[in-house]
Amino acid sequence: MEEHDDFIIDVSRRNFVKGAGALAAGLGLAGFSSVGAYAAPMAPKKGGTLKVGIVGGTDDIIDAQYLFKLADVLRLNIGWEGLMNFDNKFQPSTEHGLAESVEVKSLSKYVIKMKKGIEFHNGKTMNMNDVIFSWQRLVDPKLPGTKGLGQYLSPAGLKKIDANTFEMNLLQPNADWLTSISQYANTIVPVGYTRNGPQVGTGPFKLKSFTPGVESTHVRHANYWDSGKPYLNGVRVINFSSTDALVNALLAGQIHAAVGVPAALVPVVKKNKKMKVIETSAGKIAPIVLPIDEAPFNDKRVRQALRMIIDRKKIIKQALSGRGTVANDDFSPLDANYNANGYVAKQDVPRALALLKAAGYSKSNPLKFTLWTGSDNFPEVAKSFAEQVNSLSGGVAKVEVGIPSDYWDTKYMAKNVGAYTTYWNPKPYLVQAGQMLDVYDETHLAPKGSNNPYRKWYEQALAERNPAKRRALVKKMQAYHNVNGGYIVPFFLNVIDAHSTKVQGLEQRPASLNLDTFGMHFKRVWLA
Amino acid sequence: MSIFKFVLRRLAFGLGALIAISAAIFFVTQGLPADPAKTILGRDATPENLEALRAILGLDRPLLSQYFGWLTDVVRGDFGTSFTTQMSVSTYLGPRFGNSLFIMLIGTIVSIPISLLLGGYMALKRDSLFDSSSSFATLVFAALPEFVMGTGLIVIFATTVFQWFPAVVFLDEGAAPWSDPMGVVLPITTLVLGCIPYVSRTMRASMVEVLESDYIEMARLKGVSERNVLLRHAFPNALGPVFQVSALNIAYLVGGAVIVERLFNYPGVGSALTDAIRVRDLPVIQFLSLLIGSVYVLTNLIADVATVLVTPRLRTTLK
Repeated sequence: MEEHDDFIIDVSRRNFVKGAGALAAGLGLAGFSSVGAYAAPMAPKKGGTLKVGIVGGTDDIIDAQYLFKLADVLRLNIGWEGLMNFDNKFQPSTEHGLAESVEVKSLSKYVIKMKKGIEFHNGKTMNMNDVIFSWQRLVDPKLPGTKGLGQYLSPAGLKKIDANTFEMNLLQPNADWLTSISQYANTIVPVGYTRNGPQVGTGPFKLKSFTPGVESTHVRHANYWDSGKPYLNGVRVINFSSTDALVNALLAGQIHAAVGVPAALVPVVKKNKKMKVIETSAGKIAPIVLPIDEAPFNDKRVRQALRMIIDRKKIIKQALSGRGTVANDDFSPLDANYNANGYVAKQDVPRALALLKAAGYSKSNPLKFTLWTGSDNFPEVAKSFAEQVNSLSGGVAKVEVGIPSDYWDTKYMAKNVGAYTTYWNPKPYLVQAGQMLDVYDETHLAPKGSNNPYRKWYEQALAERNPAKRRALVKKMQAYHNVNGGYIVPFFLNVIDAHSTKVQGLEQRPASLNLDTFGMHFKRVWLA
Repeated sequence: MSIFKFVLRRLAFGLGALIAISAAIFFVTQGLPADPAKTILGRDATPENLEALRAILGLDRPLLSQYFGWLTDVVRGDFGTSFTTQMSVSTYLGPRFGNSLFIMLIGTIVSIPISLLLGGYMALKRDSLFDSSSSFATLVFAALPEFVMGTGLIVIFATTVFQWFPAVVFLDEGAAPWSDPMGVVLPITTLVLGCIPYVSRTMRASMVEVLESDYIEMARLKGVSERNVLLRHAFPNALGPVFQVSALNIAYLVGGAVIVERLFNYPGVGSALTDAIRVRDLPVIQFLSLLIGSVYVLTNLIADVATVLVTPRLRTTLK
């Protein structure tokens, strides 16, 4: 990063110390307390094929820039790289990306210089046409999954400057743009890339075979740009139909690493001395969504009562086997501006009951609603929440848990369906706010074009270059959200994976993706 | 009525049952209120691509027309195309069917003789320590779900106590299950343990009844050797009910393998069915449900015929 390095540093290192430090100390995240607990590093050994297990099925896909499930995320990360990635402290960095430097001309103009001599898996050298094509595909409004980036950048905003440099001219200022472009799915592909065409990227491993629901094999990219890496000869991703089979295979030594170990099985894995568990939290959330414009949640008192009545620690114990951290309805704990107001969501049953009473609910006229959930969407959280509300309200509230036969069809994010559970991977505050406002408008808090103050402050914060002023705006947003928002965020989930002690190069550090960000495309990983 | 006529009549009943099963399967799966197109496209579905996909999948036609179209295709041997894999159902499930058939056949070949011998011996040693302990053990195994038995076997033989066998099955693309003989030991053992209790207990009960019958007593009074009494008179007559239970067991293996295959990550039709249900891959669900239904019908038909053939009393009646 050339110019405005001070700005970049400000949003990264210094703020991480604030964010992560406060998080580790204040919230006691399991993952951070164990950083550095690993043995002294050994010299990497070359060769071998890493066998990674993950739950998947016939609907698995491989697409360099698009995904449905965790198995897709894993495969995407093996073969493709973006302009930037996150460093060891979970901050945007060009270290593992294809960009050499990023110059922030203004919050709506970014000049990106690419690394030279990058070769695709098919032997073609990456050029600026590939980079422009990749980003056009990422923001192409005709393609699915482009809404997130597309609201800030249109294909017309991409301009080639020379053979090695291009600029991004945003539709609106965005102080978190570097974080957005560092997201793992924003990768570089060769011109003409399609999901159904040859699967070619720049990552350390190239795809050899893929049978959805069974496995994929990936072999070493001999001309990989990061010299000396990867250490492995290949990676074999094996699909499992259940987490039980996944963990059994790990314990039996049939796979080297298991992605996504259920919290309940962690003690079983930890008992085995040949296994290591990686458990981190960067702030993955599973909120309960209360659409604020739909009855009965259009009454603020109802939303506040539901937040107040629950015992968050108990939900973590019941739904996550204790493997999570209490949250205060806000999100993005790694953000420097996390919970700037110091708001604490305390359980207060009498006050919750008083609010319900004031809203007109009683035993004879109870608050009734269905909390919709899905098998992939933390149904245990919904059950635990409903159980607590029903018992603690003494019959004043009656919550039913609904599991629709087709989650995507009838309940998820549709209007007028009531409350439901959702989930989000960790993102900085403004990025997450943008996602919930404009990409997947779950709570209907501040629709586009509305005069809602949350949206106004969000747009101002995005355009604010001064960190202190931006923090002040975020603080206002958080305060407004705490009172008026439609999310109940009871906890931050731990991301849990496990691997055999034979696997080296993985560490326990803040990461939004599993298995230590999949060993940074598995290029850090080697087999002892 | 001759045996030939009897078989024809049973075949006709079987065919009728299959048509009823096919209708039930189709209307239950296809008629559900949920929309497979939305499931396939997920979070980013737009009205335009939903409509296009529904047309491609034929979901925009009336349900009855969809059913007759599907049935005609099935009769022609065209089971449709899997929504998720985009392969023809027969191409996708062919190797998996072979894999499932392998463990089911081995499971049957191992479990039936063991069950017959165990049940027969329990009857012969009625009220002995062997009989009572075996009865207790088979009762316990009958009460245990396959999931628990399989998990127990994994804990003992694959992960925690010993590491003698693999906990899950990995088959290379196109590889036959016998290429990993160690891998299939635990899934087959689970199936065998699931089958033995029912067949052996039925065999015991049937054998006890036969051994107490008048014609066995008569044979003994006439001085027929005990060996001949057992092998020529008691054993064949005791097999009738056992055939029925065995048939049900074989049919169960097709459906029951679902759990076992999921537990051991075995690439068979059972795991394909659970996956298809998860992603609402209707052609796969419909084909596999029809297959399981057909196995039930066919095995029961064979059992009926076999029962008639091995039971002198029934054989005589049909002549």
